Amino acid sequence: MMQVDVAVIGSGPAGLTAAIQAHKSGARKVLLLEREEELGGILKQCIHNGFGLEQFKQNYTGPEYAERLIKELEKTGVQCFLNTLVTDLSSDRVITALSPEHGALEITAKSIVLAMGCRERTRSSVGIPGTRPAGIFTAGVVQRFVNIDGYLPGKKIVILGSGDIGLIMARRLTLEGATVIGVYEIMSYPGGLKRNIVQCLNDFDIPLYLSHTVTEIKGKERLEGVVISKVDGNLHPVQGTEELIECDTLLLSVGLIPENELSKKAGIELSPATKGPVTTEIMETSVPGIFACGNVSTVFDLVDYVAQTGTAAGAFAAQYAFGSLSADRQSVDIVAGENVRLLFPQRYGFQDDLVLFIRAAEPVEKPVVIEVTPPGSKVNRVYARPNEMLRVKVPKEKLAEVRQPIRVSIREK
Amino acid sequence: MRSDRALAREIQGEIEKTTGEKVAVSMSDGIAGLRGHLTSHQAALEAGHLVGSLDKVREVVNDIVFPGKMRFKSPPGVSEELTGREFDVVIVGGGVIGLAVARELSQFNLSIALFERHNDVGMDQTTHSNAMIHPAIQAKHGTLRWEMNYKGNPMWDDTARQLDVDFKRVGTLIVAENAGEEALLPYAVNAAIKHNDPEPKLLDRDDLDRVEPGLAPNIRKGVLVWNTGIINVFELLIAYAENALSNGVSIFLDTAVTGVQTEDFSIKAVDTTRGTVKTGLLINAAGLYADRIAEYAGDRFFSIHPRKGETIIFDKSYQPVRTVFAPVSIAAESQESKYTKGGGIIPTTDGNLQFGPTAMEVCDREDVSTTAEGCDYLFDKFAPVLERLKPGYERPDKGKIIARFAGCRAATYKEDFIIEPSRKVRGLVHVAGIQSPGLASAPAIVERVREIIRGERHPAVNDKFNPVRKRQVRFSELDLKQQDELIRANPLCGHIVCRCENVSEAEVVRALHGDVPARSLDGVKRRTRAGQGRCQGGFCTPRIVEIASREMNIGKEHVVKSEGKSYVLSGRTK
Ligand SMILES: Cc1cc2nc3c(=O)[nH]c(=O)nc-3n(C[C@H](O)[C@H](O)[C@H](O)COP(=O)(O)OP(=O)(O)OC[C@H]3O[C@@H](n4cnc5c(N)ncnc54)[C@H](O)[C@@H]3O)c2cc1C
Repeated sequence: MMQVDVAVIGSGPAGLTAAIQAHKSGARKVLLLEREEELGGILKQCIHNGFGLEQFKQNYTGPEYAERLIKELEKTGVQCFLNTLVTDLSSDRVITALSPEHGALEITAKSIVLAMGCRERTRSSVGIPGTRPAGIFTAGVVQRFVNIDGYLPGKKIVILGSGDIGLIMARRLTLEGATVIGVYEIMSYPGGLKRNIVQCLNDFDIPLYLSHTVTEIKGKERLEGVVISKVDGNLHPVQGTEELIECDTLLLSVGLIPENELSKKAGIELSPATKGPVTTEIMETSVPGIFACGNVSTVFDLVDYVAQTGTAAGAFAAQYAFGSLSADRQSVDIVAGENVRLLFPQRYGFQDDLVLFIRAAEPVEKPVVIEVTPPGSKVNRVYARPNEMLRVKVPKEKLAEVRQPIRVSIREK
Repeated sequence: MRSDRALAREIQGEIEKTTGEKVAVSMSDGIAGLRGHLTSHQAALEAGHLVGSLDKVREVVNDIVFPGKMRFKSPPGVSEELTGREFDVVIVGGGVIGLAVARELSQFNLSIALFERHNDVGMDQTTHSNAMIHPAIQAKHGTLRWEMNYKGNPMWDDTARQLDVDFKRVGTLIVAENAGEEALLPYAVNAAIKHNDPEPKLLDRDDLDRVEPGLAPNIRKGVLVWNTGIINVFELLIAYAENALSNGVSIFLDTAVTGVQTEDFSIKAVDTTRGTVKTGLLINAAGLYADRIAEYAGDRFFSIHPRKGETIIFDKSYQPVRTVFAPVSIAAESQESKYTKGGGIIPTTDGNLQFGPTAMEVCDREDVSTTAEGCDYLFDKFAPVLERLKPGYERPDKGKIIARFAGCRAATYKEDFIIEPSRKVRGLVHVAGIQSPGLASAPAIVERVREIIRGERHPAVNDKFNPVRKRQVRFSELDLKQQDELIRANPLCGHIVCRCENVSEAEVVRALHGDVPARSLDGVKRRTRAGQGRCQGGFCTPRIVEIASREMNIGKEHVVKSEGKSYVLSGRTK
């Protein structure tokens, strides 16, 4: 059985930064496991720009951003197993993996960083009735077909959901000569970032219909059309508003959820809100020595945020590996208060400053105050929108005396 | 005949009384023919069922026209490649029945051809079934459906063993929630004794805990009908096909039968979309189209009316029951009745729980669309029951549903199986009206067909017949050491293309080159489970398109999802 200090599962931005940081923090045997042929994760197919604005003060494309991290990784002694799929993980930190090159192997690690990213919600998770023809894809699959394989999925395209990948693919497919008929969003506000609405839809005259959804799929072999309906305040389709739209392709950009198979196998406590592991500010999960970062924990808006969690996870996983984190550590819960749909992390363990990522439940288009109590910190923002994560930092010193759960709320000023 | 005419008039009167409308009725040899116009599909169905329920009527041919009625078109020919070939037996239909009959008859010295219109096996009823081997407690006692179910059920242990297919007797568990329901349990035992089970068991709480741990505290008594089974239905289809092939049967997929030639009321030849083949013996196992085949042969004496059933399937993380779980409240309702929406809580051999099927009469035999109503009905009916009776499991949200599907049952108006030689045409055997529980009954049905053929043709025995078939190794079922050895021998085994179900590239390649090869992404999915997990192909689709394009030697834009024009990609980017 192979033995390492820190094993990192997944080589997207979270895994790369975690592996680099673990090495920098002094861990000697760091192993990075990646199921694809190359490092970089989903970044490789994100050929648009907007990556690394905060972290590197540069406007990189996905592959450029990944390249920068990979170069940095190459300078370290981190060992990489590519084409290697982790199939099992136990709470005593034994990893089972398969790879054409290394066979079926078991690895024990002193600490582990989970960085498997997220997966896309599918047609069945949104439950669209109708037939089952070809031509229905999640946005990420189309992104891969177009940007990596060089193939188009179809010519007349409807996009359901206004998540960022869907918006970016609306522009990409238009540039490739396909017709994007429209983007339909069930919520009354868009899912993706404002800048993507402007740059990917408005600039290309692609209409965005809020409070609309697809209620039926038509077509036997290949998709022939979809029925669109308006929805009411409870998100139920309104009878009589059905409209048949002819199209050969339906792209789903209906949300991402953390890849949590391995977390479940290791018996890690999951947050019902984020669907990822419950973690502390040092990215440690409920299973000691197993850390989680990036989209495997919660789906972040920006790669910069992901990298930030990766850095923390790598640093503390290294500390855990050489035993400098004490075994009996205290922690308090962090709970969602008024107008908070989800937050990350969900626990505070008194090791580091607390950097909170918060998603509002309802949009507030006025100045708001974010309250973190105790210790009673207040931060002002000009608005709160569910599609833009709020980030709030509370220094470690301020939290030292806290003994009861920390509540986070977003209030109108 | 005078009595025929009198009966026809009587029936006409009945229909007028119940539907308020006039249709023309003819009677001959016990076959009722209905003609005319009615205002709705529902009315035409009612007329058919009304006539079908009469004892004096053997079968019903329903030609009543109503708005929205579908017209049938035979598919166009594609080639003449088979013209001139001759077979002792031709089987129409590659569902479970056609394939099982093919295997059964391969124990004789007969040349056998099976034609299936789809590019894969079992694509109409069989793959859309719930894969349950019913105990004989639902079908009406005394019908052929009941008899075949009764005889077929116990035959599955041997059949599944010979064919190396996952099969498990999980039992149907009928539980009582209160004293009133407990009083009903002896009736369930009685029904089981009379029609099915030699030893049904009335269980008290201790026994219940062993069969189905974690029941709510108020449940004190139940009945276990132990012989209910579940089977891996697609593996079964492949197994029947592979075993038939290895015993000399020729299977032609993507080949539809479009006509039957007879001479002096004897079968002479069969027209297909790939040419005309000569034969003297035709077995009609065409499921939803069995009435068309009968018509081609000049022996139209029944009509098929498609009854759609929808099913929803849950992610493997929601596995609240081991048995087919039927609380008294549900079991009582699902007693045979033509119009209940029906459905049950049924586990599968793959570990995904299903709720289904519903029952809805539809016009189009090809209607396999799912509906919001069907899904809501199943979910709202069964999810609360499980929440109440198995409180250890959280009620799933609809997000746990990983797939919904629908299929049409091939029902006749007598609602019974037809397994008999044609009374008009020599060399024609009908295996028609095989709706539920046709799968459970399959071993008995084919035995009956075998005896018909044996009686008529006295075929010699094929000494080389081997009923045993071994399934391919499933990588995900091996232990680590075995996996390691396999990967060392073939590195493709270590390349996992479907991470939800741990399917390796080697398995996908094998599916594309098997004896009954996959011709589409869905075909690969059915054989390997790649794409069947919770990400529903999100991860593996691009990879499988690539492998299929490479192995089939076609451009990626020619790779299809199912068949026909179901291409996955429209072409290259600029
Ligand atoms: C929703 C649903 C759930 C069910 N659940 C169960 C269950 O749990 N247990 C159970 O025992 N039974 C169940 N059944 C019933 C069971 O599926 C059927 O009884 C059984 O599959 C019938 O098999 P078959 O081969 O007769 O029909 P099919 O599987 O329909 O096969 C007939 C084949 O003939 C082919 N064909 C038709 N016309 C032509 C032509 N002209 N040329 C060439 N080929 C042709 C068709 O393409 C088809 O593949 C269920 C049915 C449905 C619809």
